[in-house]
Amino acid sequence: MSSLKEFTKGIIKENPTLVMLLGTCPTLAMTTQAINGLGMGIATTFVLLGSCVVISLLKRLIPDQVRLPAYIVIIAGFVTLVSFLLQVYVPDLYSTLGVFLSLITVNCIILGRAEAFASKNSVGRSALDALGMGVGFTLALVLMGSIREILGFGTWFGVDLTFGVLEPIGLFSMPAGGFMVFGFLVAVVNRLSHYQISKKKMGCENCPGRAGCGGHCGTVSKTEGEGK
Amino acid sequence: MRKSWDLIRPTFVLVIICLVISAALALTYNLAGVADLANAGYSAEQLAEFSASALPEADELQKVDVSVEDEDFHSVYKAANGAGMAIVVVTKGYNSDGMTVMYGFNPDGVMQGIYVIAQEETPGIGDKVTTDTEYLSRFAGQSADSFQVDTVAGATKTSTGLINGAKRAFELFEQLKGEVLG
Repeated sequence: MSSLKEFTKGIIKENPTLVMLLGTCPTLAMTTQAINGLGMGIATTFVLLGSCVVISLLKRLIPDQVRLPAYIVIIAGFVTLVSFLLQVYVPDLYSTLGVFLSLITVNCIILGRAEAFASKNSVGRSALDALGMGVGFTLALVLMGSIREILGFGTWFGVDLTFGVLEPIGLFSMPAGGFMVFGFLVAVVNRLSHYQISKKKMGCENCPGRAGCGGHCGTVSKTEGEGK
Repeated sequence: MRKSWDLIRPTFVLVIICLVISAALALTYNLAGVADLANAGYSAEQLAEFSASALPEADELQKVDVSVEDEDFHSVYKAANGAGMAIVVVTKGYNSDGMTVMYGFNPDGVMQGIYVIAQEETPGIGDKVTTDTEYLSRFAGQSADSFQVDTVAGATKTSTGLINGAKRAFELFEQLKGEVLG
């Protein structure tokens, strides 16, 4: 796979939120407004990039038995770093993100990419993969935040679009509206990304997570047994 | 020897990673000055924004450190030009986490205005009241003896929260005026 593909696959084809359905909690919670989605996306991208590069660098040093705690410590380190920086330089965003900032630590996109990609690939490829996934996540969040903000508040990035004529649909700023927008977006993106695949027989080759598991997701325990 | 190293290695590597990460974070914490931030309270710009609504005649608000044993009390500020004082109260609206509201008073105890600093009321329903300047302006000119502000239909709990907060602020004003303005 060329390096460009490594980067672009995260944007639509393997979009972490809308195709792989990872990181749904921050997606639903932080997309009441486009700006919050953007902030959450950028913070997550930074953590993703930093931890994937470090994990890829250390992949030979980290023993297999403790790889998950080691990854989580590295990820948590980057999350704390981001929260310090936001607290000092962008306090407004810090207070909006609130508890979801610390919860980036357990965001499965990051651990997922670390485990599935960064721990098996070179630093450069891991960085591109992380950046692509981060951009895909950010775009998904901004898109969803824009839809919910326009429908729910009548504004976009804080700019009033209703001119006092239309009453916004408050439902979209609440959790129920979030689930609705999320469902529609997943449907649209799935249509865009695997329309042709869905006509073929759905199998391991066509699974969007294939690049991550390398086609071994169903046979992990078997291969491990053979190794011993 | 080889075998015992295999046993120790995972723990050893994990400990090293933890130590390095902790050291890096401690360094960032000190370089970025996170500790100072926690004690700083509201910035001068934020206070200017609050006082424009809560205490319009004040030129600059200065924090006054008082010891008040009251969980509703947040902080108190006095105007540098003697226009009065502003009391920040945490009052319960629809959301039980409460709203943080600043109430401004002139030295005679007449309310000059209010400003909702932070709230998590229902978007589009309760939170409308907290930015409705027409409704908020009804608090201006009220005094403790003749306090009369109506609730808003459709946002009863939020507006009741603002009214209860105002009543608490009047009590706190009586309690604090000697210390803050005297």
